[in-house]
Amino acid sequence: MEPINTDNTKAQMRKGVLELCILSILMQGDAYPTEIIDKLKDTKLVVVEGTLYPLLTRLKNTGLLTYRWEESTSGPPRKYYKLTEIGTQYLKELQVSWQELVDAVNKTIEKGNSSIII
Amino acid sequence: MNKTVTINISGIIFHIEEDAYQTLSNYLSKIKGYFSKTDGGNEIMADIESRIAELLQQKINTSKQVVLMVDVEHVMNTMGKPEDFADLDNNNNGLGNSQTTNTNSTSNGTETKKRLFRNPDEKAIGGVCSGLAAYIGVDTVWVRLAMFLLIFFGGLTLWVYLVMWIIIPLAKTTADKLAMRGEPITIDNISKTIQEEANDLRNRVDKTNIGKTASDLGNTLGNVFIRVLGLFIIFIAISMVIGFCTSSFSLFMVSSNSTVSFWIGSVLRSTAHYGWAVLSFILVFGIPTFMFLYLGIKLLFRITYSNKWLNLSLGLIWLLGFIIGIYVTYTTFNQFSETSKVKETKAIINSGDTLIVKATTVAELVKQFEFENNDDIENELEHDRSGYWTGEDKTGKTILGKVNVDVVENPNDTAIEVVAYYEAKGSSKQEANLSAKNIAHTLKQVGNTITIDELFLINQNDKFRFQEVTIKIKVPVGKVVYLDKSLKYMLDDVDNVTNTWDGDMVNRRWKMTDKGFVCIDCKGIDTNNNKNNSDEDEEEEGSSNNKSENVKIDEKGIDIKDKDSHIQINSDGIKVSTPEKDIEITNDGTKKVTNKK
Repeated sequence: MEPINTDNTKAQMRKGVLELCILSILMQGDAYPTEIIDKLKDTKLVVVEGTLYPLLTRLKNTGLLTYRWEESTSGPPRKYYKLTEIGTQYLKELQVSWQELVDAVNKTIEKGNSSIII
Repeated sequence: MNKTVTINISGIIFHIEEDAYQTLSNYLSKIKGYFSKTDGGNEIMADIESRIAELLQQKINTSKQVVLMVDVEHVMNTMGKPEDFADLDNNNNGLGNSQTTNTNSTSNGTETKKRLFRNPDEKAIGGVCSGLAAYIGVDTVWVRLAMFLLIFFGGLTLWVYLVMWIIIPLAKTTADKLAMRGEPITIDNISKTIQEEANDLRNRVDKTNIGKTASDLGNTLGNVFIRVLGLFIIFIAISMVIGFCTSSFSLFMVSSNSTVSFWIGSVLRSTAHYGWAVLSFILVFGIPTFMFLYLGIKLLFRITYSNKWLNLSLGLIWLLGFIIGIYVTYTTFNQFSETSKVKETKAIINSGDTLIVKATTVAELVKQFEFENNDDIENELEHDRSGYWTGEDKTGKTILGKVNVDVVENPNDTAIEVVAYYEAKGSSKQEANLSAKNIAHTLKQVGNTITIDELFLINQNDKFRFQEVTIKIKVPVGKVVYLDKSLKYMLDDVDNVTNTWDGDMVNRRWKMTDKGFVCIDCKGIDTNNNKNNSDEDEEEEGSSNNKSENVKIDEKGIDIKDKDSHIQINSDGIKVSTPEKDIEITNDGTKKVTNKK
């Protein structure tokens, strides 16, 4: 057994919801990776950028996302990602289950907290 | 001033400092190594590179055109460590498509099956052995050694090697090399391997810089030569090992109960000497054999490792063995340095003119001795004038030797004198004397007849020191000696007027004259000096008979020759020889028939 590592647990949790967040961001409009990263960084969900690229590629390969190339004035051409219809559908399902999860977790945590306080 | 490298990332050109380039390059190959196993790995790679290009571009402007180490570090911090990617990928697979979860997680476990490759980094010939060693997980040296030794069992491995060389692929990529060793293909391992290879390459480059003049071809030829030399030396060493083993084995056999062992024991001073001799032999021959093998293997496999202490201590031990050997040899030779002769007058015969000298022959003697190996002794010693043999009975082994008989003139006396000389060697006169005195030999005198044992015995407690017994019969002028047939193989260079060979002197009467020993009943003996004999007319008669070549009648007997057959009648008996068979009737009445067909 590895020693318990809270950093690791946090990272796992962040990574778990990353997919939901990316899809949510793209729901608001098409974006290229840097934009997505910037937004995620604001919410402190992504610490290192490298994690994003494999995930995007995989989402695209499973048909949830598509992309188009756009020229950039200040660098290489950019990949703009866009939600597909399946992606939109998938996101909605995820959001529902996320909500359920949050509720369940909140209740559990509150109970736990109260018991700790007592 | 720093050197810069120009690179192209995602179609954008950057000038980058060399050390920064190294770091970035390592970083990218780490990531690449990981994603090479993932679906869409190239795409991910392109995305990442594109992002890196973007990040780097933000770091340069017209006044700062070169990418520095800090910039690369910034990029690496932003993008994260490849290990983090791996972690993420595992978990995201879980979140995403549940169907792919299992397959992906196993592939990410990357417990790669070992595969058989030829190892290009550690090859002597084709890299087969080192690849095989990696595959079965032992050190390369053992596989090579086994391969090599097995060559001597029909050369099978030579062919096996060739076939393997042809069919086993060379480990070209880093992933191949990892698979060859059965290490999981992870970024860490790949980067580790790449770094090792880079170091290796650097070393090799350094080496070639040192020996600039040595061309590749020269090196190869040199290598081949060294290997062939190594093979040759190993070959010699193996022959030595075989020789060494057989001789050690025979030494071992010798140390168990055997005649050879008895002789060695009898020659050497003590049993301790025997032990020393064996030890010395093992050291003096065993160590060079070992060193030869060692050297050959080192040359063949180009092992540069050398153990100074091993060499030194082996050298010293060898020297020790050598000194022991010299000591044993010296003391052994010393055992034979002094000679002692003991003289003993056995008989003085005054009465009568003729002395009859007879022998108790080997055949008769062995009947008395009742040794377990009587037949052998008889076969070995009966017709041999010199030589020793061992008789074996319950009490142990006894050395037997042949007795020599000589007949000489006795100038000072009128009596016939029989003298025995016992001779032996030893480390000192006293020792030699003792050994000589301990010789057991029997000589009997009955009236005018003396009987000499053909064999003498060396006391069982005595060592073998070239003991010898010579019986001298001293005959004054005018006296006659009859030499019995049984003395045939005992007479040793008896001087006589007619220069008759010892073997022909027996069964005759010999008279000592002032000229020397003369045969008085040798008429017809085929010797040139016979003319001096008194019986000249008979001699002529004999020679007249000799005119006919086919039929010969003389003092010896009758001799009839045909084209095919031969009949001899003489004192030995009757002998008939025809193309079909030989028939022999000897004078003691035994009949022997030999069929030729």
